[in-house]
Amino acid sequence: MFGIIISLTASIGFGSSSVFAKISMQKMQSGTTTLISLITSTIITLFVSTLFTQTEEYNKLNIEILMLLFYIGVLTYFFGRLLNYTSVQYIGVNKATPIIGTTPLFASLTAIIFMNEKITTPIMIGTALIIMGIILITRKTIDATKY
Amino acid sequence: MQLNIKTRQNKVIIGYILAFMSAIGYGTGTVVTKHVINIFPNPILVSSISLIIGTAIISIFYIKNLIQDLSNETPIKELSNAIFAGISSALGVNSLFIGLKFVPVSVASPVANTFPLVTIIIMKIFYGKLEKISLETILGSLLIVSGIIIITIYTS
Repeated sequence: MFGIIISLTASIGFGSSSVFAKISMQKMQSGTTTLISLITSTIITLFVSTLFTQTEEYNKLNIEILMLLFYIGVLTYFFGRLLNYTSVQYIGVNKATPIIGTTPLFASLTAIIFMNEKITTPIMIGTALIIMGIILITRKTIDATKY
Repeated sequence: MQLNIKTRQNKVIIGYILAFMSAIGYGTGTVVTKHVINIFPNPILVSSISLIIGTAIISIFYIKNLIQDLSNETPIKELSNAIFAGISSALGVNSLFIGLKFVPVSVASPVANTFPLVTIIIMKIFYGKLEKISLETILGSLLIVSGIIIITIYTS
């Protein structure tokens, strides 16, 4: 039960982040909001990591791992968070967040293309539902240009 | 008027393209993260170092914007909300990693991935005047979250 509550807390954290960003971007640029949010996240996560990391673990960090961490930094924070907040500024939280929620689909597709994972029936069913959801959300907005 | 509609339509299309690019960024980032955690099993340290790298890269491009935005007239409300956005994201990432210590990925990941619905609920309750929520958005989000739950349960 505790694990599920913590996972729900994660959902609330991810879900509320874009809402706060949206309010912040009413007078600030998306790049500024992203930078401030990243600095805050870094401080908190660094503090938490010191609680869960033993000193000898830092010695295991080598060039190969650091290069991979560089890729994660670029993909997750430069492309992920910056474009997430910029899209929120352009189309609003309610339209952008469900699209960004399709992340696991792209993770599965990347794993299928680059890591030779198999396409299974649940992935196909999930993908079909996601595509239907995206069509439902985007169709009316693009037609009517409400924003 | 015609030009204005055209501009707004372009803005909407660009917004959707950016949202998809963001999802692709997060998605491919997740795959690389999973690979790193296989060889270096400390997800919170992985997260904190990649955050430092991400912050450094964003700083190169946006430090001028930050100075500009803050020097014009310090927008306290906007600044504090950007800080809250960072706190919420950190809460999300760290809770997910801590949650994984107590429940399997097949439980933690689908629960955490319900966040688009959480966003809509928060917007509806606290900031209803800021954005309108249509029935299509709610139904579309439910379909997306259902699809994501199916994918995460069967792939984790």
